[in-house]
Amino acid sequence: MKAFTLIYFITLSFFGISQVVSIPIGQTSSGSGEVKLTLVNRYQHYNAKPKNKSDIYDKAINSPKSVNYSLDGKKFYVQSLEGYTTAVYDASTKKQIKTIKHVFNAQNQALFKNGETSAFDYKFPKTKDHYNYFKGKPVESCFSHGGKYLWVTYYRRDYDENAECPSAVAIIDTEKDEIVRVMPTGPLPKMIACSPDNKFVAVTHWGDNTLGIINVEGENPMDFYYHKHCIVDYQMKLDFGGKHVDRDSECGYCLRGTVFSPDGQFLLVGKMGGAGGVAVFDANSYQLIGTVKGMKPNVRHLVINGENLFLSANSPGFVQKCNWRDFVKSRVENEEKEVQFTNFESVYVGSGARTIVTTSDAKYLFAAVNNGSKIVAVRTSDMKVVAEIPADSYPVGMDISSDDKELIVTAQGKSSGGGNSVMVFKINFN
Amino acid sequence: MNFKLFSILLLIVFFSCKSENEEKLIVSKEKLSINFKSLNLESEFLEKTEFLNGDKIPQAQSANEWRSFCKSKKPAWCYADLKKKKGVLYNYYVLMDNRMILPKKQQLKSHHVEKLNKELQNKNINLKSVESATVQRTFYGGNCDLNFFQTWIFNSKNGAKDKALVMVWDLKNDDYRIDSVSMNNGFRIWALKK
Repeated sequence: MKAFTLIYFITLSFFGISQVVSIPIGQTSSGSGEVKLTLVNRYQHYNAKPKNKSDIYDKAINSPKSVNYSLDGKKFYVQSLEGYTTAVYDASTKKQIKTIKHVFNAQNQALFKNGETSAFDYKFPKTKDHYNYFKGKPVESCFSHGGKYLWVTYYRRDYDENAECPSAVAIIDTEKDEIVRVMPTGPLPKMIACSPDNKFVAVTHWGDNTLGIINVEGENPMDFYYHKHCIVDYQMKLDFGGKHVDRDSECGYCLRGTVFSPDGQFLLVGKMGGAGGVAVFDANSYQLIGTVKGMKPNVRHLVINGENLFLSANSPGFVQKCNWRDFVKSRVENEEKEVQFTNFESVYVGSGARTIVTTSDAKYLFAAVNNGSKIVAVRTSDMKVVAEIPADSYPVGMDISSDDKELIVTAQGKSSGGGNSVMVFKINFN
Repeated sequence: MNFKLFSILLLIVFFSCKSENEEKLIVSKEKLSINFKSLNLESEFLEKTEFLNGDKIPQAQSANEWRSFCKSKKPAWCYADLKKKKGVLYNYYVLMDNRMILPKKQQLKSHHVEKLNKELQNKNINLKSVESATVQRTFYGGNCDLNFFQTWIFNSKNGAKDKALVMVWDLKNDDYRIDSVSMNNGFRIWALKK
């Protein structure tokens, strides 16, 4: 039996398969002690009879991809991708307030302005009676108008198996927690970001190397309109000849991490696929200036806090830091299609570095390490790991409260299991 | 003994006076003027739109025009502040033009910058109060401000026209350097007065 167990674990490590784990409430982090994480609450959809009161069985948690605190810190929103649901929770009581269903039928077609089904020149490859009758898979989100509106991108419409059709983005009024408009997007939108001056929302299309820029200067969501269609080098053709394709990998540059510079003059977009790098746009004209390389490959998430740009490199398992002005400067002053920028400070956190967040003062950074099922805390002054804590398999999304006291992490799971968990960690700084 | 003491006192007074008289730094919103005797350098940002022979330098009035001038390697200028029409940015073809924007003795060159840097480091002068000259134009035609103080440097070698250099002060970090950039970017020109 011992031999069998040994062979089992050797096989697991050989194929790089990590074991599915579920951690107990009260689990604490290890490390230097200057940052301490404790699991205090969990919403999960895998154990109907939990032993701990703070471990809540919640059917709304179905493949949770991402989480966002409201800007006033009073609520948090979980995007349940396979549940076609946004679940809303009270941040202080931790009780579920509402679930917002992303289901569209004859009853709510008024949410689509003038019945619009597509943006730019995107076409539906197959004819359908009602393109706007669908269920949307919520994936990522951002706020605009000082937190009044939450924008939720749909990975795809449920009938669009290959994610080759125009998808959509829902605009949720956070006072009522109701969808007030659904706008079409390009194929497979993921990350979304609002400019610091609240004039534009950038929707990054993972599916075809493009972005949609929406003018949001008005207060009424029905006044929002598309400003520009941006292309990173080339627009990927989506002619799959009727064959099923894995759009998680068949995605060109697989554009993801999206962030505006704090002065609103540049838009940075991570190229997770292809030859990698970060595309830099002039955020006045929304023209592509070009790509910056020199960081680790497989760039997933981008965060700018203060003077620093932080990025996670998924597969290599690194988090890197640089001065964002120097980074952008290296791009805007060189005409070559690609420029190399190497002035990074790096730290290895573990393979599968997904979402990263920083404390409000940027002194610490937290990374969701997917393959290793853990959360890692990094001190940014010298980019050293100071704490880590196991997490339910497999952590992917994350947000930190504005007072830096709580960290919420989503675990989406894989075909091998895990997931359906949203963990709330208390953070202590010593 | 008295003579020695007198000599030492005289030397102290001499160097104190020299220091007072030789160094002058004026930092204002629209003007950065530095005058060290060792450099004999005083300067201000150029606002000219003509070459020395009177020929007008074309103004790029849009991002498309900027790109068009640069693509054809023609000199061009534009405003740093497009709305207020203030400050003049030039592409590097202005600096390369035989008609010349400035007499050679007024051109800022890399050896001036190296000396200037040394002086500034020795005196530990804080340049964060310089608010102008941080706008540049990208080769795509968009204006941007990265909060770096930047100005073109005239290439010391007339024959070496393949390299465009800018002097950079990172105002946030008081970091100083010379960078190689695209000729199609737009920066201000810092003219020396001698």
